[in-house]
Amino acid sequence: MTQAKAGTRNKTRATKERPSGIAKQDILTLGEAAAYLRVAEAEVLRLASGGELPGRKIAGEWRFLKAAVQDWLRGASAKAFWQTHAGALKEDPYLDQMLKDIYSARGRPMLEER
Amino acid sequence: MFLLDTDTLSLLHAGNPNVTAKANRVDPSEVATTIITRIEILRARFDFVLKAMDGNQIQRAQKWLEKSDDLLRKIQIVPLDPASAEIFDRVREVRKLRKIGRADLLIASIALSRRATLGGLISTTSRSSKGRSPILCR
Repeated sequence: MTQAKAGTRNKTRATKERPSGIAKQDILTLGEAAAYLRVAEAEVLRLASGGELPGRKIAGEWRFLKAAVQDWLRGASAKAFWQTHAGALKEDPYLDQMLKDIYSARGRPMLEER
Repeated sequence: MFLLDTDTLSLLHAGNPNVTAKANRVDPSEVATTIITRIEILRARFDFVLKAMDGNQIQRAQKWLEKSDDLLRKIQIVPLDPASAEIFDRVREVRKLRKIGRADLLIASIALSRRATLGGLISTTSRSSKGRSPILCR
């Protein structure tokens, strides 16, 4: 078998083995992930090493799937939103009276169960 | 778009486990409340400050007013736009709807106008056999 033929066969196998739909630009290096997230590389390293940010260390180098980073970012901001709101007025002594006043003015009871 | 009514938003803020569990399943980018809820909450907070019996109570009421004001800045507020104002003018003329309070009609008008704008994204989710809730509206 000639070298050219072997090269073609290996190239075909490599193409077949690559997960479908993932192009080179979909995979980020540490520097690219940091630039994409607009944070320092050290921060990305900290998050990835702690298992928080999805990524893989391959031959000593970090690689990140762009779509996974996007999903992670979306999930992180969703969590932050609900953390901001859920229970923020837990200690509020006026809340019950406030709801009573509001729904008395509306002329109907609340639909949500306390 | 998910529109939170005043009771749902307040119970979420109170940390009610049912509302919190339900809310957690929703993408926050789609969550909003209406200008009516903002008015109701802030008006109630202003009343607590103005009707406080002494300096101590005034300070306490003001602290919770500021907290509510801050939380309301962290959620999308859907205003009454010309489309919802027009719907309001129409629904308030409907005899069958006259017993529904003004605040509920205004919120319904906002929700209906958004459905028109966003292409049918607003509907009402049923909660339990005890009734239907217009709170998490899609």
